This record gives sequence, structure tokens and C-alpha cells, in this order.
Amino acid sequence: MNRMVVPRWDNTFVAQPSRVLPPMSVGSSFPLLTHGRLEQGIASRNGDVSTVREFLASAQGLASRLPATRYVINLCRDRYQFLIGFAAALIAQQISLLPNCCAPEALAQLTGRYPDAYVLADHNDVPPDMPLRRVPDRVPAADRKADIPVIPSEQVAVIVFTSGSSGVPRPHPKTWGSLVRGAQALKQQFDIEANGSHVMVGTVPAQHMYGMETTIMLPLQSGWIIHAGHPVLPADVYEAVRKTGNSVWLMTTPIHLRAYVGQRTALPGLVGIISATMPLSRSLAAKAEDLWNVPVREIYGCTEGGMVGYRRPTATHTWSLCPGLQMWKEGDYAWVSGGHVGQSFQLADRIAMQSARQFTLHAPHYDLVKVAGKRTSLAALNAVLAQIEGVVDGTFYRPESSLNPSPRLTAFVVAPGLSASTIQAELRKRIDPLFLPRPLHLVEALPRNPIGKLPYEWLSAFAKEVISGHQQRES
Amino acid sequence: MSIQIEQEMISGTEIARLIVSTLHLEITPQDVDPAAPLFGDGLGLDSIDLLEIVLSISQKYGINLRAEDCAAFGSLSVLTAYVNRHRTK
Repeated sequence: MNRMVVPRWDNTFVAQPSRVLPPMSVGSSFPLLTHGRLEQGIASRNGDVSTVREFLASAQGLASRLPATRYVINLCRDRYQFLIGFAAALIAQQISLLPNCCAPEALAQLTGRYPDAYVLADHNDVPPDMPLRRVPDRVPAADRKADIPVIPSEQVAVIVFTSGSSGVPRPHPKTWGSLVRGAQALKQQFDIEANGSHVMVGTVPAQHMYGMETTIMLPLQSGWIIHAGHPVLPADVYEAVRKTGNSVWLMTTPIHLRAYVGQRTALPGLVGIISATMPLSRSLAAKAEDLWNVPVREIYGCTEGGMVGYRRPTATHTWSLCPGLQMWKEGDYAWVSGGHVGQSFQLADRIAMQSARQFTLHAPHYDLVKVAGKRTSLAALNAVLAQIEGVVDGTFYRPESSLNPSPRLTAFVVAPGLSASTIQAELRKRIDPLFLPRPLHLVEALPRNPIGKLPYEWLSAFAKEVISGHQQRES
Repeated sequence: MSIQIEQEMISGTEIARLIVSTLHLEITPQDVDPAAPLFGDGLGLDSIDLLEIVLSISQKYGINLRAEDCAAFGSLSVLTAYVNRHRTK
């Protein structure tokens, strides 16, 4: 059996004296959750609260029935069912794979790489050839004594993925220790009292790294109640918050927050908002703070490292680096290491450092594509496009400016004999729908230079010509 | 006593126009197939699009759609009938 790379811990994480963390070393362990009593609530669905005892019975019951493999793909949409599956996998020492895209080809690619993986889901929207285990809606609570599982720090808990430049996702293993330290850093950052009776409502999927940190790990390690659903629409968020009671934290994104502010959605009992996935404007943050009278905090992070920095947009434009992390520049790129991040890695965003612990974000590198919290690169998308049978040449393109707050990509494709809709259908099998080109332009040739490269200036002029021709035809 | 004013029926083209303008789609309202699913294979819309359309429908017709109502997005004609049935403005 191959050993996973375990990040090297160092002693740079310094907690405040009143919240001293146990000394870290490979071989230490952390409990699954920090709720003080077995009768305490841990999840709430439509106002019905499940206790820690019921949760542990469900997780242990499921763990005992899981196939004996190393990997499990957790596609549960209900957050409580995701949590039961995640905990069962931890107990059974299985690694949860959290794909960044659920398109059929992307899932097939994942099972190609992890052949013994099976799917845990609470729905049937799974390719028929994939082995599927259902996470039951209600697991009968066993009456045996529930023990809180203690998980070794170095156990790999999840593998999250970023899109590699060749179009093949790149895996990033996260140990249980790094996830717990990430949750502790979040608590410290946002001054969250230990084991306060808070409820977490999240509009982001648990499979996203930000969702894993704020909607699963933070509540588990803070003794909170997790709202079981995944509300996104304003009326659903209102119902979720209304039914779960007081002291609600909302984990959301700027796109969602803009909708709730625009609708003036009532959020009774709200105590805090955390936003991530893309920068939140100061004006939107101010409107949210006025409307609900709670602080809006923001996280800057990425799949590789989780939370890297934080700020309160109404107070400052500058990000503060999380305690325990180090950041430095090498050429155009910034690197981070230490704390919950572990080994150093390069950040994809363009960063300017104001000081050793303060930084600002700038316009992204050209190749980086971010739509609604999902990240990929033009190189990765182009590699996927080139794999489609009948596509001779093609490139994705990001229009330079757009009034649309979530601008989409377009693509120029040379594919004699194929229609744009056929190519779109092939792309839909392979990439996240957020990255589908709108529209896809069929062209006779791309403006390549004599050595076959696509100079940006040429492509940009070509794009303007094709797009304006298209718009004239439409009008 | 309130006087009931009969509201005019909203046409499929009007809803199609709302979708196309909300989402900045580069198609004409006439291109939207009334029977094709709006999500998945039809127009290929995703969750961000759903949120945007729900907001536009709320602002224009006063309907606060929930996820459980999303069968209404089965097709343009289903959505048009739904809006006509539930509109408050």
C-alpha cells in the first residue's frame, strides 16, 4: 500500500494562551467532534434536531456496512447525510474523495484513477456503472453506548481536487490533523467561542474545500448544530434560518449574498456571515451588515491550502495572513506554508504583499479562470476541448470586460462537420457547466502564428471580430 | 370591497425574454424551445443561472420560488403556466 504524503508539521502555529492547542506531532489524534454531551444537538432538518448520540450511532452503523475499500466518493447533497458518510469513512479508515465536478466523464476519470472507489449518495443522479451505496435518510439509533471516535492526525481524511493544466484533476490529500487545525484557525480568526450553541446554515456544497472547512469541520470542532440542507434560493435560506432558531451563522458566497441583499431576505437570529470563493465588494458587505446588523467576514483561500487569509471588508481592503502561516513571493507568484497548510505551495492568484502578514489580491494571471468559486485554467479547458473527436483546433477565451457579475467564457472551435450543440454536449459530459462556453463559435481557423502559438493580441482582435459579427447577425 | 382586475396572461415569449436578458444569453427568445428542459441538456443552465432567474421572477411577478418548486423549470411552457398561476403582480 502506498503511503500518502503526510504534511510535515512544525511549531509555528501559536495559539492564544487561553486556547492552547495540544502540541502537534505525527502520531497525535483528535476527536471527531467536540460537543460536550451525547444529548447535545448536532444536526437540524426542518426543525428536527438529531443528537450526537443518534449521529454517532448512524455513522458507526454505516461504517460497519461499508465495502472494504480504501476510497469512497461522497456525493451526498444533504449536509447531514454527507456528514454521516464522511464520519463513517473516517471510522472505517477510508479516504473520502471530493470531486470538483460531477459530470459523468469526470466521475469516470476519478474511478479510473481510484478503481476500488464506490459512491456514497443520497440521490440516484449517479452514472449507472458506478457502485453506489445509499446513505439512509434516517438511521435507527442504536441503544448501545456511543463513543466519540478519536481519529489519528496523520490519517488522510479527504482528497480534494484542482484542475491540472493537462485537463486531468490534480489530487490534494488532507489529513485529519490538517482539517482540525484549519477549523481551530477559523475559530481563532473569527473569535468564535468554544461550544457555544450556534447553528450553521451553508449555501455552499460540503464537497468544496471552503464548504468542508466552514460547514463541516468548523461546526464539528465547535460543538455547533449543522443545518442539514443546502439552501441557495432566498426563500429556502429564509426557511432554514427561521426553523433552526437563534445564533445562526451563514456560510455563503458573494453571488448568493448579493441575491439575499437584493431581496432583503429576512434572516432572524443571524449572528455572523462568512463569505468566500470570490472577493466581496465593500459596498455589498456594508449593505449586508446594515440589513442584518451582523459582521460580515471574508475568507481568502484555495483548494490546496484551505483558508489563507481573512478580512472584514467594511473595515479593510487588505487581507491578514492566518496565524501560523508564512507567505513569501518568488517572482510573480506568492507561496504559503506552515500551520494547517503544511508543506509549501504556490498560490494561483496574483498577490501583492504589504508586509509579512498583510496582502492584497490583484487581477488574476491570464490563464486562471474562476467562475462562482470554481477554479480551472484555460489550458485545462483547451486540453479537454482538444480531446473531443472531430475537433481540429479550438480555444476557450475570456472576454476582456463584461457588465455581467459572473462572466462566462466563450470558445472558438474549428470542427468541420460538427455542430456547436454537439460540441457543447460533449463538453457537458467532461467539464463543470459553469465553464461551458457562452456561446461556442465555430470558426474556419484560429489566428495562429507561424510556430503554431496563439498570441494573446491576435486572439483578442480575432475574438472582437467574431463576437461583433455574431451580435450583428443576432440583431 | 376590493375590485379584482383580471391580469393579462403572460406569454412564453415574455418569459423567454426574461431568461435571455437575465442570463445574458446570446440567443433570441424565439430560440428557446418551449418543450425542452431549461436545465441540463436543454439550455444547459446551472445553479447560478437558477438563482438569477428566481430573482428576476420574484422582482417581476412577486413569486418566491423554493427548491421544491423547481419542477416549474421543466420547460419554458411549464414555467410560463406556473408564473401565470402564482403571480402576485
